Amino acid sequence: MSEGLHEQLRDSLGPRYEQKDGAAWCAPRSERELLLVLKLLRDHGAKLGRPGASGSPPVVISRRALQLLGPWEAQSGTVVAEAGATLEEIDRAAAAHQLTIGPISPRALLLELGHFLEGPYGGLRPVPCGRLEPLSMALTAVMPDGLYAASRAAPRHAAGPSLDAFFLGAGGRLGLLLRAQIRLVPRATATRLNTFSFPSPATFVAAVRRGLLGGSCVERLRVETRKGRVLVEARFGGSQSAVDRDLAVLGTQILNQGGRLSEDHLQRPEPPADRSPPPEREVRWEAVAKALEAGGSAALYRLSVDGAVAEGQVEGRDLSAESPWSHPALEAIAAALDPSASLGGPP
Amino acid sequence: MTAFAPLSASSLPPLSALAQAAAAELSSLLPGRVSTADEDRLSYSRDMWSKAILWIRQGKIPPPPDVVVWPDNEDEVQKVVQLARAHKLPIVPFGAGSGVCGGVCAVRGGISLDLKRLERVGAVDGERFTVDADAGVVGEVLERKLNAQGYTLGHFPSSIYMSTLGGWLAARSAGQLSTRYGKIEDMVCSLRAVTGRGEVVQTPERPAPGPDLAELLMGSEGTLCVFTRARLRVHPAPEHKAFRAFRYRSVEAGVEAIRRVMRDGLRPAVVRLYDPFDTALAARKKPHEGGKGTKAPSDRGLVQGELVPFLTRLVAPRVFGNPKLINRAADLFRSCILILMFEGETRRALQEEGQARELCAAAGGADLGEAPAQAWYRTRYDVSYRMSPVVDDGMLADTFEVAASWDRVLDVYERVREAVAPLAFAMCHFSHAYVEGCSLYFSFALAGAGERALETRYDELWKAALAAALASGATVSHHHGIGLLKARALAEQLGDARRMVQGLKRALDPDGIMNPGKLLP
Repeated sequence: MSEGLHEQLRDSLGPRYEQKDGAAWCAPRSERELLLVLKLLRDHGAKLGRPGASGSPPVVISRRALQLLGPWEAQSGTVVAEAGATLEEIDRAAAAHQLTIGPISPRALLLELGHFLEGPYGGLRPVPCGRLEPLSMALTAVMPDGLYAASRAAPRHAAGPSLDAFFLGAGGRLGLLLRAQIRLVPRATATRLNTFSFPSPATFVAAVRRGLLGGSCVERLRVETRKGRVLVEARFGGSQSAVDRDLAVLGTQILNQGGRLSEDHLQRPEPPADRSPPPEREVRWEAVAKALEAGGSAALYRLSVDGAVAEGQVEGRDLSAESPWSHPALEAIAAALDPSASLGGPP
Repeated sequence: MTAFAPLSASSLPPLSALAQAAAAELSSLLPGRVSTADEDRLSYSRDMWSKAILWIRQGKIPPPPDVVVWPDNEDEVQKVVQLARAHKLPIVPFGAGSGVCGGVCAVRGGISLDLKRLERVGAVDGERFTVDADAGVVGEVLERKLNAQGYTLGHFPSSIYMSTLGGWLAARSAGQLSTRYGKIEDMVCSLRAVTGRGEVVQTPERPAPGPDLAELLMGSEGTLCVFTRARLRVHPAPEHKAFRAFRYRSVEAGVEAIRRVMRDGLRPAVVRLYDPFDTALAARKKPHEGGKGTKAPSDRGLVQGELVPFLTRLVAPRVFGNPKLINRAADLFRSCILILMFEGETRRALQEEGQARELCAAAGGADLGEAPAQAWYRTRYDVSYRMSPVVDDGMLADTFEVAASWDRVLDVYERVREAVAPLAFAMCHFSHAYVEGCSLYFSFALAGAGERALETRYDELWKAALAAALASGATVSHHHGIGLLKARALAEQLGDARRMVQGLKRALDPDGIMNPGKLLP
């Protein structure tokens, strides 16, 4: 990083600029300051870095100070949140409006909204019928050229390629999120835990997939093998009628697959509330079945027909670190949008 | 609205030397599956865009392609795109031509690439609940093949008999049961396409690390790539369908009922609230209950076949020529009908329908039983064919579908109606409901003093409707797409963010050969 840039960042941000751990940390306290930092980077031909990156000291931006919430929209059940607010903070504030961000994995809950949407989690949440969709309904981001990109607050559209897809899961490399209008659901008024046992991992997976497709919403599954059977604890949440319906749909599939209700308790301990949650992975159901065949256990969140977010002994994509992008075409797109890679370029 | 002029029937442009050379090369690539015949060029010059239909009625020709080709497989699609790129000749992907926004008009000529010969449908993977299907397969054929294996895609657009999977992907289609099954983009696990670079792209199974490439390709309307194949989510065929209908005293009350149903976590397959005039017209359609369909013109007698259309042609343009009057008259109607249908496992469908009944009654709805909803279901594809009489009567009809969050839905409804009131008769239904909002589907009927005046009024209508939708916070399309019709409006909606879409175009279609003029002006 040039001395000139260093000085300008220090002059502009004052105490909100410091050098530590081999990186230049900028902690803008407003969108305006964040835009200024990005402009300085562009003016000096510098690149936005990521903590822990090798090479010359990177410039790292923290959006933690951007954590305004509001307006709350009661009819649609949405709130506009700045990128630095954590999901836990948003959820806590949502409680006052009888709303929640919905079931989410413990590790994701601690993330800042910007990191959840841009990072390895891709901002995805489960919705009925075994699908995933972004937690955000609309996004506002700053593009590599410093201009704003803002999507419309509509639940779906047919207005060209998804603008939000440039930012979700992109690690802030095609644009940096400033705020998002996020989807909230009514807070659960009832919860229920049921334990089931299955003759095999394959029958467990088949029942869950069919249950999800049938419309059952399951907040979390904890699963382990015991004496040749698969023991599963399912947690449901919602209104009392929704919990009853969800249990009924899953229950039907469980019986169809040879499973049954169980009085046993899982040996796998609940994650301790006073410590940082364990790392999580994005897993496919085939990997879950394989892990159970090998005698493993796991807690499963964000359930879809394709897979889940897992904590435990299941192979999958590590969600605590950025992975290389999935397709070379994305690199070509990044090069077209940010030729000088001012936002860091693809990982 | 469109920057180009249609041609008169006598002036189908001759092939340029470039097009002739390309046609010769294409003929050796795809022997017997290349045409430069006038009738083919004419056929592929338009979709179901109302303005193109108006042009045809006026004896004008929408911009035709130079060549039409029918590749058999992805490899041939790739070769055609590579050849087009080498000649810098535009490519216009073509499914079944049911689009309503002019997405297939060949504004710079070039090659119309008909995908319908790519029609393979694989066996359902019953463990993962997926199926692989070629982009050219017609929707109804795909659904029938899935049904034969005990599954459904859950995608039922009104155009299902005349639209293809590739078209659905290109325009982000929605089906009538989208509230339960999602839009087409919700059903895609992965897809294959040939980009404007002539490269085959296989998107990873979703979810995957990095930006979602499938989301960047879907909705591109042929401007980035040609879709060739997709892996789709399928569902076990439903055991049961549970129907219900309610009457509300106002649009506001009906919309509130839908909102409550969705916010409570229910997932009806069908949600349709008809505004008062739409309700009045729907109630008039007695054939539904009697089981008789609309008679084909050749089956009609003298009165129905000759006299009624003659009188309609005489009267209707005068009535619809003064839409303010008829819109004001429509305001006298108040009550609205809400139709719900739940499907899936029997017990679940019945439980949800029961819960919805309680919520809808609490929102002020009068329970009409099952019959109105069942009647709608029996005739759910009729609407696509019911527009033609209006066009035959010398008028024009069109539809406009937008989406908005619940807090804006009623404002969008009022502002669009107000904006178009001097120009067209308008009615609306609310459907494709989500937890956060829904789609508004406006139907317009307009007349003019002569064809030229009608065309001018049509352009004014769309300008007013799009401006009102944008000003009230809606997105300019929920499921019909953009094409030529809404390109300027999309640019306005995107604002500076159109640079992102333009960047995408530079990356995947650096020579600008893919369906020029569409999406963005």
